[in-house]
Amino acid sequence: MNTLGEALVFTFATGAVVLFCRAFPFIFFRTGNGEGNRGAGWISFVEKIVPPAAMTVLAVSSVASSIKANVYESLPVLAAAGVTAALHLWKRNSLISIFGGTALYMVLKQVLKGF
Amino acid sequence: MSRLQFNSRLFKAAVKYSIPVLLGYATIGIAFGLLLVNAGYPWWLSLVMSLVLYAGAGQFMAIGLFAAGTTLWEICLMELVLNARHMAYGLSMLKRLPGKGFMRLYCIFGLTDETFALLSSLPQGDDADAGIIPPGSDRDLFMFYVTLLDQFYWVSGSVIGAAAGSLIPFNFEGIGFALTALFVVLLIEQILRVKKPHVFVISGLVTVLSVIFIPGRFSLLTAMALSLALVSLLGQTGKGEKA
Repeated sequence: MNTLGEALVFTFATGAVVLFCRAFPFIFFRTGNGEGNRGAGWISFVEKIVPPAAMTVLAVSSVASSIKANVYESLPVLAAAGVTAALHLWKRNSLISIFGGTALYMVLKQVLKGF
Repeated sequence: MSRLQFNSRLFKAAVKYSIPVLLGYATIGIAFGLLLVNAGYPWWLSLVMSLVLYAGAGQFMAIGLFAAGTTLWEICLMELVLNARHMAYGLSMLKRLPGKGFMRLYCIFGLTDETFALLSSLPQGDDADAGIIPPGSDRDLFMFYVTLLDQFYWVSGSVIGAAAGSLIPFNFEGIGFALTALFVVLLIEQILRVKKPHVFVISGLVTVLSVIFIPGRFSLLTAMALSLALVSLLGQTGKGEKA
């Protein structure tokens, strides 16, 4: 675990990284020719490929690494992730999906402790 | 600077327009605050992160990386990949954000997924503003208010969550799953929006293999780099076949 001091430094550093991402087009396409061909291929890669790939990696790795860390975790993690996904496909409301999945996970952890 | 004078009618319209984000940010912010305190950090770090970093998924991911004892370069690289999508937001808002000065700078800083969703779906053209922006009022100031209100909701939520987490003696064991749930939700949104199955299949397989074979926190970074490299390589050939 990082110390509080490290966490603070990392917060400011990553804040700068995020600001760089948000300011990037305003710095490099200042004239408003964002549609111009300079860097257009690269921008369309960032726009079309990075978000789906990044989200797949984050979702799959957070499920897979908690299963790997402890095999007995498999059931609660898979069940809660499945319910989160099902709730989201059904209602398409992030709050319901996240809270529903998390609540189920917390309950399953408590219940399975008894065995 | 005269344009920054407070306009209560415009402010009320901005509050009304941003209510969906209030609901989302307050509740997800509370979950973030709970999670951060649960990971062993003081409540005010939640305030600092929401003021300075101000990126929902980015802040959730940061908790996980903090807990894993990450290094500065790793966390910066991960946040760069995660937030690269914001470059595309700015590109489509180049001509639409407030013209210049502090309002423009702040609107760039605060261009999160949700704020982008609100600002980019504002109708364009003066006639179309009726009903959302009071007729004849300052469109730039309205966008500034919406951006400011959104961050206010996020900061409030995360501070409330952090305070609750440090004050109320409750067993929050398992609350960390909220992070996994958030990623699952964001992934489904991507799957429904992006009709490119090969991206999801390749990234998913690469990630599973990385988690199995690469130790510790390096698996995430490896998976990220390998997926982007493989998808861009194989995507090229896919395009060639179609054309």
